[in-house]
Order: sequence, then C-alpha cells, then structure tokens
Amino acid sequence: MISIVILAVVVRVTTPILLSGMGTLYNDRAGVTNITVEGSMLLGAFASVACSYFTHNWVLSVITAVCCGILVSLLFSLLTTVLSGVEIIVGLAMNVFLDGLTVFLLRQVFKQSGSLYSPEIVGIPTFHFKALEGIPILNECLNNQTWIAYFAFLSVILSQVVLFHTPFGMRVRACGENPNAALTVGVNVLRVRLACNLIAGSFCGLAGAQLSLGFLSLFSEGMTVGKGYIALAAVIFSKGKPARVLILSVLFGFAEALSNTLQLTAIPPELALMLPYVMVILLTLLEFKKKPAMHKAEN
Amino acid sequence: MNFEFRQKPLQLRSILIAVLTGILIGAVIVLCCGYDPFEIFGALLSGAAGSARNLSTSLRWTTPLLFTGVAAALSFRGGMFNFGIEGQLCMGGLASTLVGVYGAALPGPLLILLMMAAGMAAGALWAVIPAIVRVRLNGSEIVPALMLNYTAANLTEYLVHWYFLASGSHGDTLKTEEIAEQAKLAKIIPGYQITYGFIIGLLVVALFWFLMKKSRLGYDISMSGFNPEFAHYGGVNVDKMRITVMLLSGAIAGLGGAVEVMAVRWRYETEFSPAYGDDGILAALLGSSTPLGTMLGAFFMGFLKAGSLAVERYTEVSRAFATVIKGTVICLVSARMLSQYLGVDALADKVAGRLPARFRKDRVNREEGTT
Repeated sequence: MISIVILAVVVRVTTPILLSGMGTLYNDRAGVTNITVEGSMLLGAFASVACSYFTHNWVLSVITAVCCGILVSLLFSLLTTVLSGVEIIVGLAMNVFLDGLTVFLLRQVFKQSGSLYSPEIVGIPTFHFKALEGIPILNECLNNQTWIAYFAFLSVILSQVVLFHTPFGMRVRACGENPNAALTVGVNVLRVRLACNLIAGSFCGLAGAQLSLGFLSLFSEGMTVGKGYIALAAVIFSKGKPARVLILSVLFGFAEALSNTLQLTAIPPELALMLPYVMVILLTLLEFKKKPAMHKAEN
Repeated sequence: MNFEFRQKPLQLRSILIAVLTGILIGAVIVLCCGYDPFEIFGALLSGAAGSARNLSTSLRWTTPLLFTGVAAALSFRGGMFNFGIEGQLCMGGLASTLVGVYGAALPGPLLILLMMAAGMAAGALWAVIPAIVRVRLNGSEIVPALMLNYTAANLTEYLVHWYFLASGSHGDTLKTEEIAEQAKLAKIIPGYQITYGFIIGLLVVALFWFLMKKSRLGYDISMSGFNPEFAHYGGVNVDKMRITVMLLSGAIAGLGGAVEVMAVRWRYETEFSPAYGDDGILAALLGSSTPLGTMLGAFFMGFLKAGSLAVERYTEVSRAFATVIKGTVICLVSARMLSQYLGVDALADKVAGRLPARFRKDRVNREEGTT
C-alpha cells in the first residue's frame, strides 16, 4: 500500500504544479491576473509529445514546449495590453481555445482521438545517482527524476533571489503593489509585466513537457485536468512567497500522488481522483480570514 | 491577483468583428490542415441550419446553453463570476435523474416539477461553497468553483458507478436507469429533436428579463454588481445579493441539467455535459449578459455545436475546430480596442455623421453607457 515509494511519485507530480505556480507567481507579483496556466501547460504537453514523435529528440521537444508557452503568453499580453482585453476573460477564452486546438491537432495530425501513445515518442531521460541508493528518503526523492524536477525545486530559490534581491524583482513587486507609483519613478510597467508573462509562459510550457514526457510519454485530451488551476490556487494562497508556493505545491502534489496510489487499492477510483480538488477546496475554506466589514474590503 | 470582474456593455460592431475574425482564423486553421475552408464552412452552415431537421438539432444543442447562459449572465450582473456552472449542471442532472427513476409511481406533471426542483436544489447546493468563500471569507470564488467542477465530475461518476448503475450495463460508459416514461418531455413536432425543454429555456430567459428589468430584486442585484459601494450606501445588503445571485445562478444551471435529462438523455451518464458550462459563460460574455444578448449568444454557440458535429460526420475535420472558433471569438470580443485598430470605429463615426439626427442621438447615448 502506501510506502516510502510514494515520495518518488510526490516529487514527480509536484513538479508541474510547482513550476507553473512559480511562473504564475511572477505574474501575481507584477499584478497580472493570468489564468492561461492551464492552457499553456496543455499546449506545452501536446507540443512536446508531437515534437518528440517526429524528431525522437527530447531536447528539441522541451524547447518546443517552452516556445509554445512563450507564444501563449505573448498572445495573452497582446490581447490584454495592446487590445485592452479583460485579463480574466481573455484567460478563460484562451484556455477554451487551447483545449480545442490540442484536440483538433491531435485528430487532424495524428488521426487519434482520446490520447496519443506511440513507441516513437522519446521521453525525457531520468537521472540516477549511485551514491544515493543507500539513503532511504533521498533515494526516492532524487533518483530517477527528470532534470525538470530538479529545476522546479531550484526555481524556488532562484525566484526568491530574483524577486526579493535584484532590481528587476523590485520593479516587479512595485508594478504589482502600486503600478502608478512605479510608473512615476520611471518603471516601464508594461515591459515588466510582459517580462513576467514570458517567464510564466516558459515555466508553464516546461511544466507541460514534464507532464507528458516526464514519466509515461503520452498525451491525452485535457490531460492537465485542472492542474493549472491548482497551481493558481497555490499562488493565491501563497501571498506572494516562493517558499509558501513550494509548501502548497508539495501538499497538492502529495494529494495527487495519494490519489494515484489509492486508485490501485480497493477504494473506488472516482473517490481517489476527487482528492486533490477536495484538498484545494478545504484549504480555501481554511485559508481565508473572515471579512472585516464590507466597505473596508471593497477598497 | 485581481479576480474582480465587471462586464462592460459591448458594441454591436465589436461583436461582429470578433465573430468574423474568429471565423476567419478558423478558416485559416482549416486551410493550414489542407482542407477547403468553403467546403468546411458550407458543411457547418448546412449542418446547423440547412434543413428543418438540422435546425431542430441546433435548437436541441441551444437548449442547455439557454440555462447555463442565463446562469452565467445573472452571476455577472450581480458582480460574481460563477465558474462552477459545469459542476452545478452535472449535480442537477444526477439529482433530477434519481427523482425521475425512483419516483416512477407519481403522475407526470408532479414528477416533472419534482425533478426540476431536485435539479435546482442540487445546483444551488453546489454553488454554496464559492458563495461562502467570496462573501464570508473574502476570497475569490473562481478557484473553488473550478475545483467543484472537477469534484462534481468525479462524484457523479462515483455515485452512478457504485450505487445507481443501470442493470445489465457493462460498457465503459456508466449510466443510470431511464427515468419514468411520464417524465420525458414530449417533442414539439414528432420526428424532430426539439422538445418542450426549449420552451422552458425560453421561459427562463423571459424570467431573467423580467427579473432584471421589472423587479426590485433585479435592480438591487445589478446595482451591487455595477457599483457595490453605491449599493451599500443606498441600503442594499450587497453580501446578501451576492449570495442570492450565486445560489440562483447555481439553481438555473441545475435546472438546465434537469431539462437535459428530461428532454434528451432520459438518464444520467458519463460525459453528460460536453462543456455546457463553458459554452454558457461564453454565450453570456458574447451577449453582454443582457437577456436578449445571452439568448442570441446561446443560439450562436448551439448552432456552432450542431454545425461542427455535422462537419465531423461528413468531412475529416474534427468538431474541436468549433471550440477553436469559440475561444477566438470570445478573446476578441473582450479585446475592445480591436475595432479601433482595424479602423472600424472611424468608419462607424463617419457613417453616423451622415445619418439623420434621430439615429445619432441614440448612438451618443450608447457611447455614454460604455464610458
């Protein structure tokens, strides 16, 4: 049943949530409400599998996924800044659009409906450290993971440094906290936000590659099943702290790993599948404080 | 992050531009895949409205969207973003199915009313958590609502699989028993797909119009959506309005699920809702959340759906291409500056300058509404 092996699963399934959450954190800090996480992760997952199918090269596939993520955020920036669209609506519409696009391309290009699995698809290789084999917990956590997983956890430290100890990070936070003040002292708010969007997009694309090529090397329609929104929840609850995004992502990742493991037991799989979502809802109910008074909260 | 959303009135020309550009982008994508766009869009049009039978199929797909569209529009008008319509519809569908299966001894009209009530209650129940999170806990209603969609999909499957599975079904689609014969809604014209469910949908739109235009409650709702501060100082209990709006919205979505069961499916089954919730939200966005606009938006989405199914049947192009068009249209509808960059605004002003004064005045008023 549940043993220490689950730790390996936790690390693997936390990675996409953590990565896309860490990317979205930049948006959050810069004051951009970008919910395209879900869509760009999905497109990244599809694009990397498609690229791997044709080129048998995982490096190219990962690059394609990242490029797709960047493309999505460029489109989002174009629609919301140049064409002054409403961020949340554009995000919702782009998620619908990207979901449709992946299904459409899957059927037109690969003549498949449902999922794409083929021996042609090359996954991302995993690392194995001989030295760690004897150490119980580290062996499960660090061995046989893709480099994206290491990068995801490193990105927490990286983001902490970038956001709180560099001039760029200060500008990002200024744009989020008081864009008018930032504008007054000469920060190009739009450019900073665009940069944050691009970072978020590339992280989401990478998360998509981990999702599809990290373990099973397949793509299925709508395979993100709300992971992007779960990452969004992690960012909302984190109050802008990378370390808290990490903790929440691991928590959600644990719920998902548990749900994967429980499906193999006597527990009905449908109930097990509900676990991550119920976890997020419960956390929502615990996380938010009771509202003080209406007119104060509205400001 | 800021999830506050207040819908701004749309101008007809931005909607037209968005729809045309969406179709254009759809055509380009079809062309890129090596098909003739004229052939595909021809198939789409004839599949949606080519014959009386196709027309009635389109209205069948429009029916659930009337409910989800009104549910979304109502929540937008009240300053809430009900992202959980999909889940509310599924819960409503399952609840009403159970009433329809186990209440077979009841007379038809009573059973139908009970099924509707069950659907509405389940839908409203599924909207409670997002409402609480927004109003009592000062959080965003969007993420819990989305999570509840996934939860509803899994929960209904669990309930059907382990408790209400139809006898003798072993296939991979899970389904319940059929509802009682007297609860099935009759077809308006025998032989065509359209049922009295469509009439119920139109009634809901009419009720929505009455609520927003003619009732005190509707005024309070739109005031607390449009300007909560103002409503608050005017003596409106904004929190109460927000909860009301969310629960009403959930109930309408649940009613949509009940009608879908009674009119078309006669049972609850997996894949009960092919994104009715999303399509309803898109319909409301396309129609600026006004009753008439939402209805037209629902018609657009329903016809697109029926047309895309025909396209998939008669050509090699997947129905997902309609989803691509839908997404593009809503992206562009929200992008207000598009018509300015395309020079349509300048053109419209020029045209308006030459119109008789009667029309000009109307135009000025409308512009005041948007600023």
